[in-house]
Amino acid sequence: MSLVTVQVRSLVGSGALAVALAACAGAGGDAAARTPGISGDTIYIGALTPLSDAVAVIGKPMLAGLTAYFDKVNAEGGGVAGKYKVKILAEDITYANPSTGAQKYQKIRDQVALFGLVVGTDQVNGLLPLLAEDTVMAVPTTFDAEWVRNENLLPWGPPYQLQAINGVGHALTSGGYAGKTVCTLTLATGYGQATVEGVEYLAKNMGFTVAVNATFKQDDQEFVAPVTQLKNAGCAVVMLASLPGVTGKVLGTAAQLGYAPRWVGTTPSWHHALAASPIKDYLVKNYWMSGAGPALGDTTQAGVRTMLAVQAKYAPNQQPDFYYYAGYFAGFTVQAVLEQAVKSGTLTRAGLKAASQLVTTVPSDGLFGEYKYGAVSARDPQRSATIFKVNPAASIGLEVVVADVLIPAAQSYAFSKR
Amino acid sequence: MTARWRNTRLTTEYADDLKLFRSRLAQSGAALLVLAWLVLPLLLGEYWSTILVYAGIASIGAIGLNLLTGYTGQVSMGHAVFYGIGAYSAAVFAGRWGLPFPLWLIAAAVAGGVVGGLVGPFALRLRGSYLVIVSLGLLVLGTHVFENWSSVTGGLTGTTVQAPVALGPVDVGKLSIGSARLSRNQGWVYFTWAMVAILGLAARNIAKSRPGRALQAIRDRDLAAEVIGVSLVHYKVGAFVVSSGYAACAGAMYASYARYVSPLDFSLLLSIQFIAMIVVGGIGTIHGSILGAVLLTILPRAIEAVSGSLPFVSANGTGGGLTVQSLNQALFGLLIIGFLLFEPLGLAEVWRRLSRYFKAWPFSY
Amino acid sequence: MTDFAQFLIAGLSLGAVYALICLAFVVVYRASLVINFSLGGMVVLGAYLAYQFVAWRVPFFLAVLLASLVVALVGLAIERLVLRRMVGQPVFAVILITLGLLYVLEQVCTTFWGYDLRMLGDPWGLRTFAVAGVTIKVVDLWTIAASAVALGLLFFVFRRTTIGIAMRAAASDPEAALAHGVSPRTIQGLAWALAGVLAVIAGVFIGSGSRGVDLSVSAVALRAFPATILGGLDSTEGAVAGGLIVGVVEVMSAAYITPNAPSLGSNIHVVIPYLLMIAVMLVRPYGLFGTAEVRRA
Repeated sequence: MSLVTVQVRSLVGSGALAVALAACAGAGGDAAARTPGISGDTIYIGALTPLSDAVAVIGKPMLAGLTAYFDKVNAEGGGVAGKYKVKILAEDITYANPSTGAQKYQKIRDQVALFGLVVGTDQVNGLLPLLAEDTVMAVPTTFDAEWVRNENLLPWGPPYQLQAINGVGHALTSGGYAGKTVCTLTLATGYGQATVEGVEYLAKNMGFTVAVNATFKQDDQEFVAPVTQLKNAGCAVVMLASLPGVTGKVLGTAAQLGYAPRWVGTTPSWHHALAASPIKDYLVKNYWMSGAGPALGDTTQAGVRTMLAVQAKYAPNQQPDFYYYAGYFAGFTVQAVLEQAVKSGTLTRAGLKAASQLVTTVPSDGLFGEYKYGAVSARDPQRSATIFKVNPAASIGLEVVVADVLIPAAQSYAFSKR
Repeated sequence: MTARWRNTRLTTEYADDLKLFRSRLAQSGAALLVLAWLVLPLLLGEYWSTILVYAGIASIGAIGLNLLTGYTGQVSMGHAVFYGIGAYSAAVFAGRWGLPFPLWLIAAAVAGGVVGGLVGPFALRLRGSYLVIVSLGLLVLGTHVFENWSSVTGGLTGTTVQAPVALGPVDVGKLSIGSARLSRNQGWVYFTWAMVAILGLAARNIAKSRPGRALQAIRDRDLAAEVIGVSLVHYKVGAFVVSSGYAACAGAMYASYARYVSPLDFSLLLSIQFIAMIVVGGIGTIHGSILGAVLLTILPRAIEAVSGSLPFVSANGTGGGLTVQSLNQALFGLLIIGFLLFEPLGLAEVWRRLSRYFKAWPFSY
Repeated sequence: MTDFAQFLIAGLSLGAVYALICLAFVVVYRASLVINFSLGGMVVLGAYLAYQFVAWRVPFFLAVLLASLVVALVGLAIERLVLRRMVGQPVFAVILITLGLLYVLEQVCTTFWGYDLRMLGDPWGLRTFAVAGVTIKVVDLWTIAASAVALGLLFFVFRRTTIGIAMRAAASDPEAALAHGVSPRTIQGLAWALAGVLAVIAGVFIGSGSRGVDLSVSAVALRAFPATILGGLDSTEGAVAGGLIVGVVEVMSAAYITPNAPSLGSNIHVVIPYLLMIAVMLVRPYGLFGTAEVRRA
């Protein structure tokens, strides 16, 4: 709730600021003189995420995760670098209307040091020219391989391409599906395309061909046609890139048609409600998710225990689902960059950008693998993945099959601009 | 003395109806607007400048739709397609072929107009509700092309746009007054609203002259219009061409400003927004289109600004309940309903009544 | 061949959902010459209400009945409070009002139920049976049966009952109907209530099984538009025929055209119903079964 008051107060502030700046007509050159988003011992970071549309299912828990992470840092460690309290300015954007991302960016860009959370592939693409112009860093929470090499972005998770390579690769190598036919079924969006790219790369690397690349639209209701197409092609391993609302429709149809390949889903395809749906038994048998982090829900790990304790304390109403974890993870990256900038003594926008290239690895309580930052050209995301299976009794409906899966193709996948 | 009174306050000659500024009042109003245009960008911060740019671009699109819907009575759900055609044209003409500033904008508008001219004849056979749904078909088809013609549109992932508004030494993104540099957003407010003025006056000219009267005759009774010699084919298709050209021009400006476009930018939502703008602003008026576009662009942002003091509303939904965005969506619907029920002629009518009141003052009518 | 039969059944079942929605469009159009763009909102509201009643441990069919009742009342209220005031206004103004209502209804849903996926808890689940190698979903049979019953009832009501004949009279000539003691207002209220009931039934089928209910349920109304136009906006037979044709065409093109003609772009099956609609419009501007409007000077 504190977020609300923060937002209003800073908006009033920006109005006054606007009038003050009016006299000198423009703020182009004085960014260095005053560091936006830092006032005294408080650092403001921005979050641009859908909170009231279909993608709010993803955006809301992510924001809750990031907020809880910094609530903990503020309360327990005395703040970032033991000194600075972090506050989050969240803005609601509309996934289906990318220009809202750019508008909200303009709204808070002079009040935040960096953007700790940006959800939506199109939204991030729309921000790129603005980020470059204003020397602002952003942490995208959708994963496109193209962004690994962007100097204004700090992606932290494995790109969809790698999720696909490791997921399908695991099934083919040690998952018991050696030599079986591989297909994809993906949402017709940039995210779906990225997933297909990964599988196609794996195919080239391992010397097989992808039998079918089927796609669908988000508002499709009937999936007998694409599912039959996969079934007839003899697909035994199918990479699925979907969204929570659609996954149940696709897999329900497959279950009804008696088609049971090894489904490998990306992280956004999963929603914990599916573990309590009529297809839960089918999912337990046939569904894997390829994602980040060794052991979400595995309470033998200290990092997981901490995370759950933080959730219970600071976000008690939030179901700790996968998106909540993603938001929490993003916190590690944001904190690392801020602390590096404090250490370098340059807590400015240019300083943050420089700091982002000085950060080498990010500590993450052992929750997810190493993302090598450093110079942009040398950046290397976590290339391994964790394979989950469905377990209705587990906290997010998922439990680990095997952690740290690293397929050779995932090792050799090159990140370049498209 | 009396003669001047008559000339400036009441319509006494047919020529009065053709004038752009009919009275001193209108002239001084225009002068005030110019003053606001000069000063506002300097007073507003980056954020509100951005909002003003979007409002201006939306105004141009809304003017285009009003020429079609307001003046000929054809409701189109396909306006977003022409906006998209303009945006992708800017990406190609400026970004890839390297056409300089006014040329790429003109070419984009022409591209939109040409496609409008190809689509227009289909609309001739259809009326009322049927036309609405068929225009929805145009939108579905357009979206499919945007998503799949990857070599031009970049497909699902969209495309970056390099279409600077720069003529000779003047670059809208890097204007300066004396030694003070203006921000890109400030420069764009000047450019966008200059375009609104030019295109708005042009539209007003069309509306006030022979084509405008022919279009209104078609709207009110197409059979009667045909009987008195108004060519339905000529004017209905013509309206489509001009309307699409306006939409494409707005789209090209959007692409140039945003520097990245993807098919999500040109969805049904955009078409509906344009329709709502002309309903709220005033069907069949040019200044109404602008008023509606400005109100619907600014209102949601203004509500956000005061959302902290509204009951039952949380700014970002972390506390549950209604989010500002949901409230805005619902308000958007309620505004459409409210205006159609209680003020079907829109803000333009409110404006007219106000100005009448002041013109006739101290008499009540 | 088995595949073809499989697709046919899937298409008919999808078509049956479309047919229910088309019927809801047609009922309102016949009474008031309005395309009800808010129908998607009624569909999703109905699905959520059914979910809510089931969650309150109301037996499923009773829950659907209660949801139908509530949405019928909502339809009645919309007609009474909003559309009644629009009598005599241009067609597009009334269409826009219903568009505004869509936004309001959708936000009512998100305010109460948020954005998370909700499982409806219907009795059909994933149950299937096989006939000659073709898998038939139990829910598909129910969907097809429901739209057949709805069509039959509407047919009966319109042809045989006083109210139905009054509805037809009010639609074809309101003044003459009024002179005979038929109140067009009552008729329009009834039409909106009926549309609400049809919308709820469609919404329940869309959210059944493992599909779940969320805001995207409302998008189905958009997908049913070409079916409505294809059949003709004022024809009940047309609604069902159009729904079934579009359902089958959509599934068949997803099965045979989308995979075999990549040059047409991905997901061409979304576009083909609209292309079919445009083609029919060029030949028959009032749909396959619709009544041509007579232009009088």
